[in-house]
Amino acid sequence: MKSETLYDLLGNIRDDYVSEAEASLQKRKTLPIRWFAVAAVFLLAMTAVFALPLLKDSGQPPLITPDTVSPDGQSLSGDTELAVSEKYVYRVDDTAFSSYVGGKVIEEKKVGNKIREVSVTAGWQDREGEPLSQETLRAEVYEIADIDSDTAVALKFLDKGDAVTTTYFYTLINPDGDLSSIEGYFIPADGGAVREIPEGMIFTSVITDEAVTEEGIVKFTTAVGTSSSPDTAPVQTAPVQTAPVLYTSEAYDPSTVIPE
Amino acid sequence: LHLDDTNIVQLFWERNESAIPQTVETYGAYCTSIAMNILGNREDAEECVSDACLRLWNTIPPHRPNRLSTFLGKIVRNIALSRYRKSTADKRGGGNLPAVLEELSDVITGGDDVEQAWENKELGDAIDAFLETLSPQARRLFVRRYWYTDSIFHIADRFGMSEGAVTMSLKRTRQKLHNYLTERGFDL
Repeated sequence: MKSETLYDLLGNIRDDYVSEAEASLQKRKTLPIRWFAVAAVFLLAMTAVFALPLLKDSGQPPLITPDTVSPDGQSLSGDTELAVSEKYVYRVDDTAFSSYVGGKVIEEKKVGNKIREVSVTAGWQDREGEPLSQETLRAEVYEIADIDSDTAVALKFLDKGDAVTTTYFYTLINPDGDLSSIEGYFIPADGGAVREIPEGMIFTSVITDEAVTEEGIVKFTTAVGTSSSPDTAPVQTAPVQTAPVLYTSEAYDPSTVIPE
Repeated sequence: LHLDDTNIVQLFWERNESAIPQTVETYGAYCTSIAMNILGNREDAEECVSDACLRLWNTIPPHRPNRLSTFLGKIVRNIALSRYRKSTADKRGGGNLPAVLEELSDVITGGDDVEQAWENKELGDAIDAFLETLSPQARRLFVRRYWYTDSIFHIADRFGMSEGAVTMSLKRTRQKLHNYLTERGFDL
């Protein structure tokens, strides 16, 4: 087949896909925001200060590891960009669960009976929490075995979102619930997926987020890096090893599900 | 006075010649941008839109499209692609299409061209089914690039993303499309 034939065939896709793409003018703030490399030093230090206490017991390796900043905090490339990351958040519209905070994935065997189907408002936010995009997804709320639904429930999406799948059950935690009863079940929430980062680009993201601990909701800051350009030798930094678990919808690793 | 789709289509059905200026007023810019993306030349693009309006006049009736924009957009796209084929034979023009076609070569494997109409129909259905599996955002990016033939720059601007992020998303979607179609036995 010639690519021209494929292009021709693509002209006959369903009308609603064509109009969906026409109707989706979502002007947003231009990202990334350029900072200076010295900011990386500060933010990585913040990572160590805030993230380490939260994660020292989690035993989970970071799925995305910053690898583009040298140990002395200097850029490995003259074109280093430092960017404020966007985060993907979702909230159940149903008032019974609207105050619940989205957590990580829970194993299916721990999921109990279905409570009901709900509508979920999801989307990307910038660092200040300002909405950048929004989508409405259908989902089902389930009980979690041995956990009061006033404390936490499981959420399974029926519609695929921009950074959530229809494959896994996600935890939804009530920050006002009895969090001691879920201690050991939940990895601190990382607040969602990190937007795709161009391959081969020196890039360090910063994400300010909330974590659910037995004490309640805790704010923390961390930095995320990605693959370096081909002629740049990546160097690991010490604070990076303690960064919170962050994931993308593509990179999500099911092996990191809730520990027993 | 802007008429909605139903009223414009009704004008065509009544063989009222004001249907054409009404169409141009409502969808002229939309259609010109589609043709411009393919041909890269405003004069050629405007001729495409005129040809499309004439074809619309000859198509309605018997057709009664629910969504005039996409119905007309598809006509413009087809006419512009035909012109592109002719213009490349004359070594002219191209807009964003050469880059788009180069990217689509990731999806195909250089097998025999699918000639039979029924096979094209099957492949078209499979592409529709594949698009259904994508997230809305990935699908919008894909459609903007491979239906509207938008430049990466304009897609990035439209969705407030970096050009690199758009390129990466499109690359992943092309790979997924290739896998999806080959797994279903299509000889690409």
